[in-house]
Amino acid sequence: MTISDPTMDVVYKAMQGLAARQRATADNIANVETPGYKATKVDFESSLRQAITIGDPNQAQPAVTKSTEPNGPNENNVNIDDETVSEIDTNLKYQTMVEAMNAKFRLLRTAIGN
Amino acid sequence: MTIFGAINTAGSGLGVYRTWMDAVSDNIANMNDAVPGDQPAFQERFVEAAAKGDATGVGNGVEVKGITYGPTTGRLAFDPTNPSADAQGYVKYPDIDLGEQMTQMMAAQRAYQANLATIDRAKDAYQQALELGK
Repeated sequence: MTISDPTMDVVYKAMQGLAARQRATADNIANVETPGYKATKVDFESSLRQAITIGDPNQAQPAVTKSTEPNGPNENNVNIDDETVSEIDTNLKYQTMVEAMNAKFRLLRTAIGN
Repeated sequence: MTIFGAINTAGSGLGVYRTWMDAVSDNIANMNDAVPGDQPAFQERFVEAAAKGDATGVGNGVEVKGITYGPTTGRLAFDPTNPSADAQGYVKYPDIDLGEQMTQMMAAQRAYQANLATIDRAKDAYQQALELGK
């Protein structure tokens, strides 16, 4: 019996993935006018889903890829609308995960007797 | 990657677009500099940006790679009454297009604002993370 359970591991892994995506989005927006820059995309969901299926969430590894969207005038393919939406979406998901983690912590605290 | 990575990344964007706005305002401020016709005109400033960090992983933002200068040719104008005129009565103005400069200024300004918004949202997320366990 350990303090952390698989659910907490999944939530933790999701938070890590979302944080990576947030950094990638920030990087894309910082390079919105850089000639030749290709947008970075982070996908952690598919790897996490697979890891949950085999029963070890800690094996999940976020995949970082370069976007293959068509280029703009200066060989740059950052889409500022997509990035802004991704930023807000990631942020809300992150907050949801924090809330989920806190719910687990509250359960634990109840069990401990405080 | 530092703890508050997203904030630093967007911060690098702020720096680059601020430099770009500085360069554009310098170009506009000097667009009417008159020099004698046989001397080099004011050179337009171009800011070169480059992505920071490796090409495979999540990068670390953007940086100013360097400043390049436009041609010294400028455009000649015949204006013998101008105090800067040369012996033949010619003065030289920099070849800077105000419309182009204003467009660049707007692009730089919008990109600056986008990075500021990123910092704001990243800050929200980090603040949320600090609420863990409370």
